[in-house]
Parts: sequence; structure tokens; C-alpha cells
Amino acid sequence: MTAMRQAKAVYPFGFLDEYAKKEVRRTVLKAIAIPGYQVPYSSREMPMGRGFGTGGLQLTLSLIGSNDTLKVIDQGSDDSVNAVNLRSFIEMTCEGINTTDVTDEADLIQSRHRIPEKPLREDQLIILQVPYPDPLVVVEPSEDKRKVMHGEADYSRLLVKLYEDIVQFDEITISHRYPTRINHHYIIDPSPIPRWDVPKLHQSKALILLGAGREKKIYAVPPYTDAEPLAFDDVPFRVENFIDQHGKRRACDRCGDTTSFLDEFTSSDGNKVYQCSDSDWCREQLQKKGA
Amino acid sequence: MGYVAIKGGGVAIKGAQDTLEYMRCAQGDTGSPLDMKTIEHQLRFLHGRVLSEGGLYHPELASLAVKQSLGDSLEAAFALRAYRSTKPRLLETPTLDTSNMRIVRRISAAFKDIIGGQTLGATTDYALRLMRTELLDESPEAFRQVAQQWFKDQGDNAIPDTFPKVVDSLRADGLLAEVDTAAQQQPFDITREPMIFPVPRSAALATMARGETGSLLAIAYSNMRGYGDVHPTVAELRVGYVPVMLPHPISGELIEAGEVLMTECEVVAMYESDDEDDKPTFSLGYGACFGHNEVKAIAMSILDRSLQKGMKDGPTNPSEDPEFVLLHVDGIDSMGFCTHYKMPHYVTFQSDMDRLRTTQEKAQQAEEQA
Amino acid sequence: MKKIEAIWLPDVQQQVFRALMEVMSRPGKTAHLAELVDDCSALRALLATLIDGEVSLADRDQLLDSSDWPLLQCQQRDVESAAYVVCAGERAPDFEPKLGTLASPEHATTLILKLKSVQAGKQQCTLSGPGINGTQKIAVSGLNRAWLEQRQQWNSAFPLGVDIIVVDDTHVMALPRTTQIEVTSWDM
Repeated sequence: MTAMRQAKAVYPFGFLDEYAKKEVRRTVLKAIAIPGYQVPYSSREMPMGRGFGTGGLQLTLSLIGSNDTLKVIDQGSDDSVNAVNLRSFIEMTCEGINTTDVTDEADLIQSRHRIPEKPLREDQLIILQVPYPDPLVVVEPSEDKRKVMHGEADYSRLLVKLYEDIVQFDEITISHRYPTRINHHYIIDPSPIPRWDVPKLHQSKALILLGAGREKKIYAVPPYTDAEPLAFDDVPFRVENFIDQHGKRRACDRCGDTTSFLDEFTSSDGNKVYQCSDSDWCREQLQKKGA
Repeated sequence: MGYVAIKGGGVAIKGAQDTLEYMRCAQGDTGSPLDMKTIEHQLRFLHGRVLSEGGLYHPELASLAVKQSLGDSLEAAFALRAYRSTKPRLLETPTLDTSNMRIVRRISAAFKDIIGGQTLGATTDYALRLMRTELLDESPEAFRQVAQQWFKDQGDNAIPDTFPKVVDSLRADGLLAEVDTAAQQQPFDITREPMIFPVPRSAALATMARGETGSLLAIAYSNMRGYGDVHPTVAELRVGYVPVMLPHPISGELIEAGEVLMTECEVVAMYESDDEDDKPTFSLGYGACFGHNEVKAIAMSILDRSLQKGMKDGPTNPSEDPEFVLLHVDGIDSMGFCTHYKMPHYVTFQSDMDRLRTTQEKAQQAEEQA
Repeated sequence: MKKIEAIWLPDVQQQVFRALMEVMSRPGKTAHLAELVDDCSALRALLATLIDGEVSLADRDQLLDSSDWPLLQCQQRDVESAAYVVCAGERAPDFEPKLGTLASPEHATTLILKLKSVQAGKQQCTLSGPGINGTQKIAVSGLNRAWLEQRQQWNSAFPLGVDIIVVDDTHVMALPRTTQIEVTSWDM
């Protein structure tokens, strides 16, 4: 494509200038050293919209080299419009890198809203795109005050909010972006992953980096670090429920798997359909069945 | 199996790009492509907005950005801003002196006459907003005639290169505080440092200088209407070309590297008298941006004043709250986030449905038991 | 024309950074940089990767050549105010580094200690904390024990604290502020 060739001529490897990358890299090291703390950085404009993963993208572009194999997912799928868009941009500006759809083959994974079903390995790294980095924003609008609350690990107002929820609905109503305590100090917004994915943060073998481009923050959950979703003794944290009215776990319509997070939608003939959200997981289960 | 929107993303993106490109060229045989100079001149104000909101003074690329975004000012500013991310910083200018501005327009609402005189220049302020139907079918001959005639009428009555500033005479009269030299430290660089509140005034000015015109206007307007009390008087509004001085790479001596079109506004607001020892003076609000954009410069100067008040006494309304103003006026940030809601959110929505169904079930159980 | 050393090349810095990120994520793990950076020292490689005009650096024990400073482009500061401080590990700490604040704990010094070896030695410790699966043993040589005592004090009120990167000629290892260090045997 001529547009791509021309763009290559104008833009450097990894799009960002080297000083911008250095700043992101310094920020990443601090984020790892202070698990769960949102480290501010200056955040450059990317050629895609704020909110489309520019924080994740700046991390990927500052980390990636020609030895890497990258996987990009959105809503669990490598083929969704935004994932395709991000991946082709990275391919265009980072000559020589490899890309893949297969979770096992990737060493760098950039994702929006999901963590792969397949447990990640030590030699892998996942970058999550974050729209709202601060879980305290629901109880305190001023960032100035929130920073002090985080430093003191003062989360009493957040717990009260959770408690009020239980009083009103007899259940914690937070569906995604579930507040999670990292290394027994900072509470993070783990990005809009479903509750289903929150336990994957705990003692993960892979490093987890989170990038909020618009809000200009980077934070991390290092490997082998405790990550505990907020809960009360009598009202536990619960992941999404995929049990049907007969008490049976729903299965994926395509691969038949009953262990993965499912997308629910209505097909053109009006029937409810359930399918694996993680497209690579679904592919692998189908392959296993065929073998 | 039904249609699943998530698959075939690559094909869909390509299709969308092709459709948009077709729309740009849909005139077919009767159309001709816009050239960069046409955009710079005939879409002057749009072009100026893009220069300033893009935060990069590159007239040709700003024209290109307008062209490729089909005239969407947010998209065009965005393309320019993203291009900026790829460029390293090579040199820094010293503080530029806008009294050296080569003026094309200069007015003061505070005084009937000012030293150097008022220069109305190019403005729509007193134009009647009637439809100029003669432009509907403007011939190239008539179009060219305008410029020829204009130069013929100009004559030799040369205007001076620079003018003194109105606020300097207010200072000389002791009506306005002296320039705070302590504040002339290294300005806060919003492109290299994250803003952690509270931020200095220079960070606020830099943020607003590339803020979105409509966003600045909306918040400044709230102050004008009564959610605040700046009550500004425009001491001076000037539009013109500011020489950009750069240190010579070898000798270090300052040389003029070029000039940038800017709009600058200084408003004088009611005096402050809470410093008991000092004599009361008027206070100043400052606005400046690339390009010819008077609404932006005035709105910014009002917000600069209201923010200074908020930084000093604590905010009592939105236009005085630095976090509220500075985190919501950037067009690239706000349009990006607004647009992102169109992206698929069905994993999170699945999660929402799960929570709602659970609470509905619990409510029903409770009702049945009652 | 003089050949540009590998450590100043963007693709080399990318790989050095990835090695640094790996060791910062997994305290006690060492990375071997020699092959990446030709004959340059690990210390210079990591400085070239992390430092630019936006940050400040102090070199307490003159471990850098004067010719490195212009290339690093950074602000030279004293040890108590610099963001990055380089010291010889043999010489005891004699200053108070920045520990950050409760609201901004990232404004803490990153200490870079040059040791004889971060791969082997008679100074042995067991590490635990984030990034470590259970415990991790390390053995180094050329570290003055006072650093560990001071570090414990500096890091006593999380999130305040200093993050330490240790290097020898060719290897790098990290001890972020969250790492608990227990000395198991100590000989100079």
C-alpha cells in the first residue's frame, strides 16, 4: 500500500521519538518498583484517538524491538476493528517485528478488556489499555487529594461505597474495573477487564503493565505479586456466572468449552448464542476436538 | 450462524477508509483538489485553529491536516499533534517579546486612543452577517481582481514595525502590578512533564494555548455569565507575526529563525486588595495562541484570570478550578474519549448484565419471601 | 569518522531496557549485557538507556568519564537531589537520597551501585517480595554492608524508599524498594 510506504519514510521506528520512549521506560521501571502506584508521565499524542488504547500503545512502542512477537487483542479477539487497527499501525512503524494471533507464540501482548484464558508464562508480558486509572475517582474528584489517599492507603471511602451498594442491592454491583489491592497497599483499577479476569492478576507469572494515555499514567502489577479484589467476609468477590436456568454451565456454541468467559448475543434467527470471548482459546479448543 | 461484528475487522477498516476517500473526491469530473495555499488563505481561520490546537506551527502540514480530515478541525489538530510526537526537540527559544510583533490588527477596548493607534485590520466584528450571494458563483477573474485592487489602494503609508503595549502604560501609571520577575523562571513544559496538581500558571497557560476553542469558550462564558466574576476589559488584543529567535548552533548568538502568526489578548480585571501592605492594582489575564483566533485568545485570558484567583483563594466555581479547566479543554483528549464509546464494549456489557441479573434475582427472591 | 558506540543506538537501548525491565520485575535475577553492547560497561549501557536531558544524575565516586556527560545530556546534580545517583558499592553511603513523598513516591532516587560482581561472591542474601516466586538467593562481591543497613532504613515506610540497580562490568540486577533482603552469609 502506498500510504504505508510513505508513512514509513516520514515516521521513525516505533513512531515516538527516542526521548519520548526513554521517558516511558523510566516510568515503567518506577511503576514496577512501586506495585499498583499510578506513575504520571507526559504521554504523547498518538495517531489514534485518546480512548482507543494510546496508553497501551505508547508502552508497546517503547518496549518493542525486532526480536519480539506481538499479539494485539480487543474484547478477546485479534480480528476486531480496533485490534486490527492497532496491530497494523505497530507493524507499519516497527519494521521487522513478528505478529501472531496465537497466545502461546507471543512474548508481548497488548489487550483491551481481556486477559487471555491461557495462563501466561514468565517469558510473556501483557499490556492492558486503561481508560480510567484511578479507582478513587468515584469518591473523590480531586486528583490532588486522591494522591494523598493512595499514599496513605486510605481506602475507607471506597469501602463505604462498596458497603452502601450491598445495603441497597444485597450484592456488590461493580461489574468490571473491579478495584483490586496490589501487594497489600495500592488499590488499582485493573482496566475494564471482567471480574472473570481479575484472579489472573494474582501471583501472575507474567509482568502486567497498564497504560492510560489520556490520563497520562502508567502502573504495573509485577509478577508473583498479590492482587486481591476488594470484598467483605460475608459478601465475597464473585466472577461472572454462566449457569443457565437448569443449573448447567453454558458452553461455547462453537467449541463446546465450558470453562471460558462467554460473549452473549442474539443471532439473526432470534436465538441467544454464547461463544468464547477469547478467539484464540476457542480456536485451540476446536483444534483439540478435531485431533 | 449469525453475523458477528467482531470478525473481519481488517476488511471493514479498509472499506471505511475507501468510502471516506471516495467522499472526499465525490465531485468527480467537476471537482478539483484543494491545494495547500488555498486552505491556508481561503480557510484562514480554520487553518489557524488547527495550528494552535495542534500545538505545532507548521502551516503546510496544517493545511494538509485540514485537507485529509475533510475540514474537521478536531481531527486535523489531532493529526498535527500526533506528528509532533515523532519529532525530537533540538533547541529552545528564549522568552519571545510580543511587543516586537509585526502587527496586522491591534485594538484596545479600555482606551479611545492608544499610543500607535488602533488598527482594526481584518475582522468580521462589524460585518453584517448577510449572505454574500455574489460569492456563490465567483469567477477566478473577480477573485484575482480583489488582491490586485487591494495592493493598488495601499499606497506607501508604511505602518511602524512594532508598537508599545497598552499594559505597559497602565504599569507606568501604577494601575497594574509590575511584572512578577520571580515568575519568569523556567516555564513548565506540559509536553515533557506530567501535570501533577497544583501546577504553576505557566502550565495552565501552555495547556490553554493548545486547548480547543469551543471548550475554552464554554468555560470562559460560564464565568462571564455569572459563575465567576472576572468582569474583563480588553486592554489590548493584537494579531500579527512574532519573530522567533533561536540561538545560533555554533556562536550561541540569537538569530531570527522565522516568524509565527499569533493572536494575543491582555484583559484587565477588577483589582485585588487583600494584600494589606500593597496598594491595590488591577489584575491581568493573559491569552495567546498560534494563528488568528480572537475568541480563543480572549476566552483564555479570562480563564487565566479566573484560574489565578482559584489558585490563590481556592475555586468557588468551575472556571476557577485548575483541575476542572485544564483537564477538560484539550480537544484531542476529549474528542478521542468521546469517540471511543463507539468501540465494542461487549465484554464489559456482559459483565454489567451479569450483575443486573443477579441483583434482579435477589430482589425477586426477597419479594417472594415477603 | 569515529564509529558510534553500540550503547547510543536506539535498537541497542531498546534491548538494554528490556533486560533492565526484566531484572526490575524479578529482583535478584541477573542479565548479561556484554553481547548487546560490545565492549561497553553495563554501567554506561544502562545510563545511556535511561538518562537524557529531562533527568538529573550524580556520580559520587567519579565512575564516569568526563566525555560521557555531554552525550548523556543530563543535568549534573549533587547526590542528595539527583534522580539517578551512581556510587561505588565498596564505599559506604554518606548521604540521604530522595525517598519521594506519600503523594509522589516516584520522586525517589534510583541508586546505581557498581560492584565487583553481581554474579558470584561471598556476600550472600535471600530475597523475597513482589516479583519473586517464594525466595531468591543472590551472591555478590564488592558491596559495603552499610548500604543494606541504610537501605532498610530508607525503605521502612512504603511507598517511600529507594530503588537500587546493581551492576558489575557486564551484568545488571535490581533491588526495588519492595524487596526484603535477608543476609545469609557475609565476607568481604
